Amino acid sequence: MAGLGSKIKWLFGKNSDLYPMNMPQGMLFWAARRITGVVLAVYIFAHLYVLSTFWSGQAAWGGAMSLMTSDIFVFLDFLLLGAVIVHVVTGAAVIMFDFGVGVRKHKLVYWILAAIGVLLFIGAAYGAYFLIFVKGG
Amino acid sequence: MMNNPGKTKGTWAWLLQRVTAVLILVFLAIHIYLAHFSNLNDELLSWENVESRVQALPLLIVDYGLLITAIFHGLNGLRMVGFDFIVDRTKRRAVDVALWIAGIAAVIWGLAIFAPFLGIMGFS
Repeated sequence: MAGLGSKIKWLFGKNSDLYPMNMPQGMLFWAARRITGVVLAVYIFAHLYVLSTFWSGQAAWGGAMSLMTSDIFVFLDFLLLGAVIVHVVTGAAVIMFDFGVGVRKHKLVYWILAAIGVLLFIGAAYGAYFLIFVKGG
Repeated sequence: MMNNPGKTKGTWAWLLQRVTAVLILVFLAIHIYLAHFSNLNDELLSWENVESRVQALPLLIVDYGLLITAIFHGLNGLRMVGFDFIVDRTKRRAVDVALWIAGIAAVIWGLAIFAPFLGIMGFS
């Protein structure tokens, strides 16, 4: 297979779009921030709707909360926390660059923030695992 | 656009989006910790526990602060997304009016949610 090495180099080499420092991180961060932002904006209203159960009294609230603390809703909360993490991490880049912090190293900033996001997501996943399988089970 | 640049640049929206972002981060951390994680062996979401949390003033301030900053940040964010697709000035103004009405209504809705614990709006 002559040429395989050069094909790999073409795909992943320093001049490739897949090379870490050439990825369009800014565009990906922008898209991720927008999608999670819309989801979270809609969530605010869902949250207010559920909390409005207070107006229907103690029994109705208890019923709503036993549904909200069920495994499926804890998992949905975990996905929500994932959206929050993505939004916070990508938003941190915006605020940093607005203040001129890390502008000259923006690719590195994106990678560090992405790594922080992954660590937070692992923590959130452990939290969801604990609530569903350890505490709930 | 040229007649009144100060009103059309969106500086306040830009600045407040960043200020509320930082405030939400603080409020949300306190809110999630106290309402969901401060005591894993206790039913934190029971009626009585919610009541005692709401009647403690600092927490009410955090929750109401989160309400106002999150609704501003969320609706202003939707405005930013929407204005990428809506260029017409008249339509943009209609979006602004709709979002202000929705935002004020949502804040009033949120402020009223704890009424049963505060003994207002006919609740005792």
